[in-house]
Amino acid sequence: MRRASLWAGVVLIGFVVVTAVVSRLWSPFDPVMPVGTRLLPPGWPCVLGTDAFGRDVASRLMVGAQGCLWVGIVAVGIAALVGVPLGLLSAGLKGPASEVLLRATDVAQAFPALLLALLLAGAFGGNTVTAMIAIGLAAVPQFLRIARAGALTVLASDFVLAARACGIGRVAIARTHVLPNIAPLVGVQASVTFAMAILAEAALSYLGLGTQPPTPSWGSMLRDAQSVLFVDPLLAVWPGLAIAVAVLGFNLLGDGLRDLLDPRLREVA
Amino acid sequence: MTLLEVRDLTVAFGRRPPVVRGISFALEQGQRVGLIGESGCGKTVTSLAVMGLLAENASVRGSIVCKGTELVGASDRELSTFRGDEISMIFQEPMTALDPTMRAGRQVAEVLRLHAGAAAGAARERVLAMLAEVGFSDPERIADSYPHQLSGGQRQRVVTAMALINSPDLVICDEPTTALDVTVQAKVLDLLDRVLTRENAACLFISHDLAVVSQLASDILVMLDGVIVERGTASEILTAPKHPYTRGLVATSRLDLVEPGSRLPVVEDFYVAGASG
Repeated sequence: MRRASLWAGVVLIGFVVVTAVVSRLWSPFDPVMPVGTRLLPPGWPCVLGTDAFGRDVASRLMVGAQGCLWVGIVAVGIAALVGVPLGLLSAGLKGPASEVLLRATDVAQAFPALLLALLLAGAFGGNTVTAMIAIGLAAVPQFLRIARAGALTVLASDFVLAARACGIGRVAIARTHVLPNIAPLVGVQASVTFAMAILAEAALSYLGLGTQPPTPSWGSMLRDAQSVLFVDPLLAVWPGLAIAVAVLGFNLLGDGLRDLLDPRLREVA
Repeated sequence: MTLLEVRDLTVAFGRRPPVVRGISFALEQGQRVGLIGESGCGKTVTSLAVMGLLAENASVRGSIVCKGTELVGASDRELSTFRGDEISMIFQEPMTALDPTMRAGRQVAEVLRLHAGAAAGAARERVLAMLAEVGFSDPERIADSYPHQLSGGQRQRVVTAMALINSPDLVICDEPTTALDVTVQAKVLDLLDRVLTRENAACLFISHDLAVVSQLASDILVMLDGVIVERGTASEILTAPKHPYTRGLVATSRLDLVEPGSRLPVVEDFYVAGASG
């Protein structure tokens, strides 16, 4: 039963990833050019119909999967690469330096991700790159906290004391002992943050601050669908469903990983 | 030459009264000293103080001189050249003294690489030789195993290999056999005896078990409430203990002298904390 959540997550994410990869090579129609009558209902050859500009919805959904994965990868990458080293640093530092870092984290965490994205978009213009950076920066505190908490536990362990007794330095201990032992925690956090990033990017694109037209993205497709919501409600359903599938997939994966890597269960497995 | 000289060592944590109160002892090259006492008497704190591994809030006074260098107040950088090379330590709990994410061979190699600066291939050879030395007949397999694939006795031998691979002059053993069952305990003690003899390393052997200490140590220090209450050669302590607490320890370790059916002796029969002194 524990594995069910993990596998459901893997299947959903796999579906999104395969769609994204396929769409790089092939999609039924050009996702940015009108292919026929506007607001066609689902049918053939436009499986999910066309939008208010006469573009193929299925093709746009497929290409949108690419953007959603890129945003997740870059945002999680930024958050982990900045947050984990800072977390290790704050665990290793003694006294006031560590306190300052932690309080700064509190301040950063009190700052909503979307607000940060709006600020950055205002300063540098709304596009996918600004959105990715803003989402990544906003997630740094989560990684910092998880890395710090994990590192403190590992640093208090007997094997670190034994390593120090053998004359191994702080940096080597952080690299060879702390990092491998907190990797599972960071992995779970990455999965959860990935879902958060997809959702945040969709919200930003919906507000017009993320991916810009004509590049298809699920968030901007939702916004386009809004104006014709009462004429063709299905147009809002498809991108909504796609976002839900991707977010659910990463959350399930995160839950599944957490169960799988729970130290209390690991000994038994 | 005196290898290690500890003088008036006092350790306190925070504002609480000191847990080690002005103890002094010395170890010569190759000498084996047993430090014995009950849980909480300050044995482990003493050993961690020598290693410079006490927590931040510990205040250490007195002097610890190893090979002419004062270790009290030395920086972490200075101390880390001593750790592993000159002094190493074997810990009590073999189940947690190894990193669960790292193969046993790599953990031993990590210690070696840092100090001897050997080439990777030579390091592997040296690690396998060391694992063979601590009694593994299949060092290759042990080196490639993760800690959870090894038994307690096997792990303790890996830990021993880690502590001895840089040929330190002093090995501090903090109850290395307490967590092991009696047959494995005997094997590990035997092994320690052999390896220490071969390396001509001095040993500070910490235990609460007089029988275990007397197997390995030539001299014994008896510690009680942070002070050394009695010291002497192993045979003196075992045959003619002077301090009532030591007498209690000796009596409780000689179960062969107990009349069948009579009550087992306890330390309190001889010594009651805070009563006489």
